[in-house]
Amino acid sequence: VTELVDLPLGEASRLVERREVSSIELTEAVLAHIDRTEPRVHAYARIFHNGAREAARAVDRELEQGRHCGPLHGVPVAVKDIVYMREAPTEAGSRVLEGFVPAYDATIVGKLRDAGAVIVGKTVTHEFAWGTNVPVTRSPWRDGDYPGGSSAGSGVAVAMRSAFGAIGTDTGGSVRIPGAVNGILGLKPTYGRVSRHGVVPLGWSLDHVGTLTRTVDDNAILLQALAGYDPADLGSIDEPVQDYRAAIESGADGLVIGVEREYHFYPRVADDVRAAVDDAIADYERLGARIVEVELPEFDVMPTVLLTILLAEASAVHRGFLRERAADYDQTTRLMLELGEFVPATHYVTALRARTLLSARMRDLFRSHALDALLSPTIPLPSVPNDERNVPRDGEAPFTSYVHHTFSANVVGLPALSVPCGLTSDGLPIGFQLLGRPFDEATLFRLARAYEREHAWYELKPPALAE
Amino acid sequence: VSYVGRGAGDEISRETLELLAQIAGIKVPAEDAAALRDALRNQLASMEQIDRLDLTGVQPALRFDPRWND
Repeated sequence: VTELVDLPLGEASRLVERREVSSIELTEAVLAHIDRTEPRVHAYARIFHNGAREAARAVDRELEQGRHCGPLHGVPVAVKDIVYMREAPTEAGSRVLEGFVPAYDATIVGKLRDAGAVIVGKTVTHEFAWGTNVPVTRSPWRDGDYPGGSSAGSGVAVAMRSAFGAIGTDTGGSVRIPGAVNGILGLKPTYGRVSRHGVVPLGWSLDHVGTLTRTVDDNAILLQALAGYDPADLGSIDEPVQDYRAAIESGADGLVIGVEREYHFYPRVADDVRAAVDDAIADYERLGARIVEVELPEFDVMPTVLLTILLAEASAVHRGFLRERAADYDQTTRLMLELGEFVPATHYVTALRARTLLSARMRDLFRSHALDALLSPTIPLPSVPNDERNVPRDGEAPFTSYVHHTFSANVVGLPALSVPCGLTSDGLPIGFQLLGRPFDEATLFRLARAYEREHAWYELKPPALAE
Repeated sequence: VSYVGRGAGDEISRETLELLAQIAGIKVPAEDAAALRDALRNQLASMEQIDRLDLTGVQPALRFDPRWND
């Protein structure tokens, strides 16, 4: 690993701003690293060697002229291959979209370009972000393991230092899960915070664009560039954007963290995960946060509400393709789309009524305890071998366990951040999840940074980096 | 159609699946049928969880804005 690619995004950015390193030097270092590591991990669906170099040189010319756009200026990043870019196909990991070149950039691609970011490639996704098939991306922590999904490539690219940050999407956990299994941060912002215009939809009312980085500050930098109202996205919400870095060093003292044990620490939570998350809770208490034990029996119904909504919406998205290109889907994806065709409309609307109720229950929980965040494991298990994902253990398959804790944030639309918090005895990453108040990502960053100051897990390197 | 009067967790027959597919206007490949019947049975049964919630007076989480924003 060269010194340059091992830097956090913020530090690389400062070098570029001070012109101690040029954007083209940084970009060349990342491209060389990608070329060296891709045969092992397959994080990228497409790499833009020439386009990234052109963008980097343009950035350097701007810097020579005294123009600096902010902390993403000149920094190489990656985007998931369900995000539209005019200059390249967007295939969403599917033969159905093979060769599809969109006519316009996604809003977030425009925002990245406006911020001066250098997009080095598009990362591998599970087919259409459904998360059911096995992608080509391989875990850098243990070969043959589940690399997380559906933003598998984005998670692995960041962990492997082959991008300083990456864009993912999260409909039921697809940013936070690859964050957790790859030992990095994964943020699903509040619903409506980041535009989905030009992002291949999966479930319109559940889809979020999210950010994957190695450090908390890096995540705040990336979200700052992406956040904001976009009338082209009907789910976008016109709410003021916080300054995500202003209070990031303010510590956890005085903040209130809720811990719900019945649902989030159920028996399927692995011992190593339980211990690491309990240690993090103890750390927060030591740092001055108040820990409050809370209850919310309705967590039990979150998975059913999400799946009922998602099945119906995803099958509506794919209505045409399923009738014209059914054989081009992976069977696991096709099964979910067929299933969604049979969800009665009354079930869908009933699930939407339940969603209103669950949102109100969550609001009441936060208000009654004056919570700043809820803390839980992100996923109850570390990664497992791909071929064991769907094999039940004690009555529940790991794949079902992985979404047990993450679905809720999509149902109620609240921001949720997965934070690395150590390794299992087998050397596999563990993460905890902070669920926050609507449009209050800044408090999640503040809490995560308070923990990160105590534990610099971002310095850990996956074994594949040494291969 | 078979939803009416079904008990949660009831098996879904091959004929029922074929009828549903016909109504929906899709073709279900033979290789998908068994897994799809299981998944559909589970999905329909899981609605019991939602039905246990008291949704009296609760509106669906829908939002439609009639303003012309283009």
